[in-house]
Amino acid sequence: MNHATPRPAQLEWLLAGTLHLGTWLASAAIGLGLALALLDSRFSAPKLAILRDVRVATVGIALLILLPVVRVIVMLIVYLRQRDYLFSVIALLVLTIILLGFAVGLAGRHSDTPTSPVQVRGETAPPHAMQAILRKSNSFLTAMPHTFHRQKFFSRQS
Amino acid sequence: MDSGFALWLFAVSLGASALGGMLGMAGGIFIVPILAIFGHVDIHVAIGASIVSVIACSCGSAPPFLRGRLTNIRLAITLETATTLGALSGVFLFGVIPVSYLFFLFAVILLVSVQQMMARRGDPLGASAAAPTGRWGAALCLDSSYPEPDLGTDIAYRVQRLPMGMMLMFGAGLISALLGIGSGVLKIPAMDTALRLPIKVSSATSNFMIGVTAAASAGAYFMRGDIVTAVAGPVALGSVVGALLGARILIRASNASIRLLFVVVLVALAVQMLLQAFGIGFSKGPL
Repeated sequence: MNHATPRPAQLEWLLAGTLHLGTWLASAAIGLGLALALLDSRFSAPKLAILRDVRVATVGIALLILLPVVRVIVMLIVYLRQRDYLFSVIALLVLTIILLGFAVGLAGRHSDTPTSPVQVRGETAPPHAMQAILRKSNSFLTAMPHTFHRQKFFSRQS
Repeated sequence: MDSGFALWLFAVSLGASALGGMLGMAGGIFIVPILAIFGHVDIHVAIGASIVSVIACSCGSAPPFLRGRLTNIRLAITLETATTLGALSGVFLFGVIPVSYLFFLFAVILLVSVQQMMARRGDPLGASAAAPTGRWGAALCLDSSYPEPDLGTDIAYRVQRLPMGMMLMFGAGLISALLGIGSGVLKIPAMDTALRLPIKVSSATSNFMIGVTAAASAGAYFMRGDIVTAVAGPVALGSVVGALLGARILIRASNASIRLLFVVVLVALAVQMLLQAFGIGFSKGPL
């Protein structure tokens, strides 16, 4: 960040820029991922395609979820630079609560059952329960195990 | 991936967000019921997808408000301690509450929205610098001003009754996490009756806070594996496009006709959700 101690008005522009850029970046990743997945599921072996391409869209979703976190971090940095320690503490508190949310989600995951990667609400779902996740479209269901598997892969990386 | 279903999700989210954007709210309140009732998507997956779209709407529409100096950033981060804590509590309840209760709660929130839509919302009484300053508002330097183009000057305002506002915000965060909505329904009374903010400031600040609130629950659901990319992806994308469109249409369509459209849609969805809650829904079959 090469901004020299932004005044309050500059903080607003900084946040606006961050959110603007972040939204476009995340949307582009989701759009690209979905477009690739749709194209490949039409023209090539669906299994391979889904494995690779849903991951791009998942990264986009992760970016979108992380964007408000980045926003709070930017605020924290700016408040620290302004020596506004009261609001630094408040920003840090919000950041901690959000990260606690991530931790709670991580703890609720049953990652110790690799045979069945489909998990719903922290419980391992048997394969037939996939119907409960998405009851309408059968071809859509084929994407589910990979989707979950990839999410698992991604969250382990981050 | 089923391209037809992905396109349907995209179109529904686009429509919902455009409709929501016209009155300055996120489309989640439409997306969850439509996905659950007409898309036959499991309500937990629908809520997971919707909470992502709420972040997209909030972040996408925040920049103009920020540049226009309508957002009270200090107030937002202060209230976010309450909303994120509420969201965290919602995450704990999410997996425990039976699905029928979720449907019922959603129907109640839809009906409360209808009631708010009917009541005309103006600047709350005492939303000016003349009002006595709140103890907390002064201590945290939350009082601020915003530019009013009609008058050509800045209008100062004070933040009042912060503790009561914080309590309502906790509830708003809880409902947001539980139902996957921005929960402006609860933020509006908090902003109007407790904090007594001018309407432009409260809309901008509430919108700004929604993203951070939703990030706390979306992060948990994402890590837990409740967010299905194949559903959440098209929904998020449609919401971003819809929110951009909605902001444009807002200027053209008359306010009364949007309100009527809103009320009709909300009542219809509330009835459907109630039917689901009591197990009378027509989509109860396995497929």
